[in-house]
Amino acid sequence: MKLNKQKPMQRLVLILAIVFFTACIPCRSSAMMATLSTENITKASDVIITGDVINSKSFWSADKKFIYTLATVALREVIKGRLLQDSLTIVYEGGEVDGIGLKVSDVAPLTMGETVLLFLFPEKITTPAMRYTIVGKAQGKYSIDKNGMARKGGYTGEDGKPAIDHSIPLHSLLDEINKYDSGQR
Amino acid sequence: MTLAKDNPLRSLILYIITAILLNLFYTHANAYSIDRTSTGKEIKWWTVNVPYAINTAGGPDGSLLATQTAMQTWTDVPGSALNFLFDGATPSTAWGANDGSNIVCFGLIDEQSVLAETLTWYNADTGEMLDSDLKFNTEYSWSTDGSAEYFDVQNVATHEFGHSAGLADLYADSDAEKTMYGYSSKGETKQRTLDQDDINGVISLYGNGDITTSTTTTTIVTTTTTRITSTIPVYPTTTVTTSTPGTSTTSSIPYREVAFTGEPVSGYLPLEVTFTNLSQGDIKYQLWDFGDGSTISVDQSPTHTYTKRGTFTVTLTVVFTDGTTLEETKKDYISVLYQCLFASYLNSQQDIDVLRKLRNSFLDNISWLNLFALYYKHTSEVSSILKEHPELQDELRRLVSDNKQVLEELIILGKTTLRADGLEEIVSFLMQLRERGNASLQYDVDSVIRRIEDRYLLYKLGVSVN
Repeated sequence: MKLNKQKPMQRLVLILAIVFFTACIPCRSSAMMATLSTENITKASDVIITGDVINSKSFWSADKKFIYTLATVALREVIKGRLLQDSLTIVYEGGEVDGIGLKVSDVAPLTMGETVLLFLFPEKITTPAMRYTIVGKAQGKYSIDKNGMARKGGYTGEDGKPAIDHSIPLHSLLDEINKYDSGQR
Repeated sequence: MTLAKDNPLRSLILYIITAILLNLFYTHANAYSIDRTSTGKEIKWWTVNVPYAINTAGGPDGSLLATQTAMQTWTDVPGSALNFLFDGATPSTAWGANDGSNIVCFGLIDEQSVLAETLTWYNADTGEMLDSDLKFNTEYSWSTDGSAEYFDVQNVATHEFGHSAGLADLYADSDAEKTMYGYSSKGETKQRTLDQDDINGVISLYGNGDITTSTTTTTIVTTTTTRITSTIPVYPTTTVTTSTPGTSTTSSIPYREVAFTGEPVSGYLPLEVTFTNLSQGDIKYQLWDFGDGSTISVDQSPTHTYTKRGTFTVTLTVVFTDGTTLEETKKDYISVLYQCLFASYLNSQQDIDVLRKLRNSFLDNISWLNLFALYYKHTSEVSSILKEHPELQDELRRLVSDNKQVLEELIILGKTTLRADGLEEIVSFLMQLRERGNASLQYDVDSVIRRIEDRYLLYKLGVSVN
């Protein structure tokens, strides 16, 4: 009897786990872009990191006509580039502030608590604190789930599907990045 | 583990069946995807009539028709009430501006890898879209005939209008034939045609029973002098004629008007102004542009604080339930001033002339402060004025006597400044004169006020104002 009672419970746990896993696949937004292969996006990046999004705050541009978001990412690993700090500030277009939202079709937002792999370069605009933007907008962001899968979306590409790693185990993605990065050096 | 020990094969089969069912379930659930706010609200149009103006400059021949056809593709979905309406050709390139005017245009996009980009403004609380603009990146080559070496305008536009409707990209292999599939290529035209899942997606957003697809056309019988920012049916007065094939009816439409007031319309930093929306009609929402570059407000009658000096033009855009917009603009409606110096403003003959003009025009309004300033800075002028108007002599003496403290402070400050509250009073006086005066006088008063403000800035920066 005891075993019989445990079975449904364990099955339920299994089902819930699968549901949870499936639901954790990140939502995707929109856009139409020319795709960047893993090789190209690696070479185009000054900095590549993995980390956790620990803060996110949207704000108006100086002329109050556009919304940007600043996200702070606590660094887990620096894959490419040299960084002395423990965290990076990422700036991207869109966000919500003062009850108004701006959605930019090819930007994948960084959400609090999310673990990410990011392809970055320094922001063009000089600011007192160094900020980074994501290479290729949503193409430069992988969301990493608890099973070690790295996924990206939020953009529409130019039929580059064979060249891009849309959903890939993190360790495989890191291997590829390191391969292209070492080839570049 | 317990299950596996009990009956591993049975458990495995159970797992596989569960996984297959879940996979089927989620495949169906992800047949389309909807954009949402940070709090999970669907981002969608509040109206079923969504006008788009099109600027084809920079695009290939046939771009207008290709874009219109893409719009019509979504409009034609059976069971969906969403209508993308052609709002005419436009020279506008205000891509990304939250101005209540939706546009399609061609041009360069900073991020070179982007083929086309849609920027959508929405109410973060409700998810209701306020404005959506689409741009094709002219970094790439475009055509309208599906040529193999070019990106197809209609193909990409159909996909992007799916985003405007509120649908997100799809990436599964099973999504490859859908318009909202996340990849496309040169020469591709398959996204011109909607897949059933694309159709289901737009129906899920705009297919409820409260809104129905309209097949009527509307003829505007009367017009209005208020600028109309949309060409979709407008009912500025009360009567319109609508017609469907074989019928013609006349119906009453709610009176529509856009109007507003602000109070106060002038004052010192920081100036808090309460705006009152006096508009009438079936208003859906309104957009307030306070003219100082601040956030667009969607409140009905907002209070806004101006935090910089200058004159500001205020625009109220009212959006009615059918998507029609009317707006009213009041040019230079709000005047904001620094609390500023006054005494040193009388440093030129021009200033003296202005003040004399003010005094002659509004003698009964002259305040003690301007006389005070005259007395201490330009005694000869004061003497002259007092000679012309001896009735002021007693008043001046009395005012100086009554304000001895101010006088002492003036001396302490080297006779270059007056106390802030006194300055407020004198500038307030000038503003009153400005409101009452003719154009020439207003110009002169503005000139004086600007000089006062400039001197105040210098003073604040520690620069001598003498």
